[in-house]
Amino acid sequence: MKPRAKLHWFDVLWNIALYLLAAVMLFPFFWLLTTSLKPAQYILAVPPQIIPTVITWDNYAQVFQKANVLLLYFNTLRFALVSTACIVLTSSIAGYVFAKYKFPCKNILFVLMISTMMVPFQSYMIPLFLMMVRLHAVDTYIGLQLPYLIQAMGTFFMRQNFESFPDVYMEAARIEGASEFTIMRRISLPNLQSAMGGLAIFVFASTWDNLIWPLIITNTSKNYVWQLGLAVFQQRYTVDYGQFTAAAMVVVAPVIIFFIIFRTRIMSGITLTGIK
Amino acid sequence: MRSSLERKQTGFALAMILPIFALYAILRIYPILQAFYLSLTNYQLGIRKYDFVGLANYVDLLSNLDFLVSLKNSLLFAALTLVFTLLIALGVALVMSRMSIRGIGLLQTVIFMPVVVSVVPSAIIWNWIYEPQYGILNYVLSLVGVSPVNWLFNKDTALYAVLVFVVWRWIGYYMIIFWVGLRAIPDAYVEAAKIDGAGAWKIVRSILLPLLRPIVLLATVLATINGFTIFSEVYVMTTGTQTAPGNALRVLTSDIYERGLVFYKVGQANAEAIYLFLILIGFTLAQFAMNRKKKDLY
Repeated sequence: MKPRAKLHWFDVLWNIALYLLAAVMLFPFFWLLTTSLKPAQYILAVPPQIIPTVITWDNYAQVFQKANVLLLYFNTLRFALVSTACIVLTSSIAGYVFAKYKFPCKNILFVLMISTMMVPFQSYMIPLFLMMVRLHAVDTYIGLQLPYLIQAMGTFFMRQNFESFPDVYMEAARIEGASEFTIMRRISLPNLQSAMGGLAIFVFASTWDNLIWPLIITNTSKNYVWQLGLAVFQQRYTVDYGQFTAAAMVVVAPVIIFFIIFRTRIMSGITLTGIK
Repeated sequence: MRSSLERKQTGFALAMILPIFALYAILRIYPILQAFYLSLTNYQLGIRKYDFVGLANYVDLLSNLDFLVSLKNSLLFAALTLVFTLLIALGVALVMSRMSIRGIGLLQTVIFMPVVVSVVPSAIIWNWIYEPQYGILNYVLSLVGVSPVNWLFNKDTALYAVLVFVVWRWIGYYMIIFWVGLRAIPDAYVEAAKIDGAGAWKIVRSILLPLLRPIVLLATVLATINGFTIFSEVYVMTTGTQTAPGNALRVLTSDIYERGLVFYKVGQANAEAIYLFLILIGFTLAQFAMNRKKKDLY
């Protein structure tokens, strides 16, 4: 960090440029918030009201009436949390075993698992859907959840992290007579909590954001997650941006609050998982 | 003693890895192989009987107008998102790391915010901004005499309208990647160059960018993959009731979805899915190869 010296005029210009960019980035959220609070006749006002003069909660009341907000949150959180728990667990165990153990066919298994990372989900989503048809899992929570028990990128990421974990801790525990399972559970996994935390944030964010698989696998509103619920809401009802924006706010507000509280952790979690 | 310990370890490793590998085999490897297999058949959803047709699907697609339009749009879209997102993100990260900027934490938080806010609510905001009659964009443009444009409906503008939205959404992500990479470059290099009389542009071009190259390569590969596999943004912005055609912006992923799961032509859709995979592999390998060639020049 540089000392807070007097700014050169050149630096002042760059400061202004970046704050202008930040304002542009922020404007859509501001516009979302104000639109959701405007009564219908003010939403369609020309010229548009930048700062609303009259504020109403009607749009939100409509959303809570038309959509089962609690159920949408329950479905979304269940999908995101179970995916996060399963992927972090399977990735950590697989990454640990690949980094620290020797066993037959190790390289073949590793290459087979990691190479699936190169194939985009859109390339095998239809066979995956056909599999769910055969399992009678279409339009069920199980069908939604099954593909997200594992993640090749997560396994790769955890293996990279375990490579730099020193063997001495494991050796010491072995001399004490600890079983391999105890070593993993008590020593190795707890030592990589921060990497697991980063992966957890990454997986949670991408599951929360997932639209394509819920769109393919769910048909009835009782199984909707937020992304799909919102997309359908937007297509089914007559164009009413008061309600659309209010519904979007119900999804966005907790995310933004959560992000502002944990911003540093979240920014490094989402991006650094991609770097390793 | 030693060998019994080793056997124990091997046993533990296999006991842990085999169930996880089984999940990969069922949920990834099998569907991927099946995508290849089905792409060689004329399988249609709901029809039990199907035949092996060889490469016919691949050949047919090459003269299929929807596919060609999707391919063109995807190429254009991926190239444009890559260039704009990475240039802006790199510029912002460079300015943040080299100039005396006040409140970097605040700026990064704000610029990163669209990354964490999920895609559908964000698309709803932008749909509203682009709204032809009452949207704020057309209003602002009307002040300078531009007549209203139906941004998401019009074939000439839909791609660019979605592009702006996507660039807005992704800048923060690459900004952090570049920022972390720039921070890892020791200050001493830059200071030494300054003593030698190098200007700001020279420092960026001759010191920072070459040292940042692995990160730039990573960002390019990620942006290419993200650009080609884009789906939600396009789906939400161009298939609403108000912008009904869905044809205004057809990209590979939306075409695969429609072909396979709306029109049930599974064989053809899988051939298209394999094309998508081959394109991505091709670009990724080309980017790595180009990077290696450049490295030899230095």
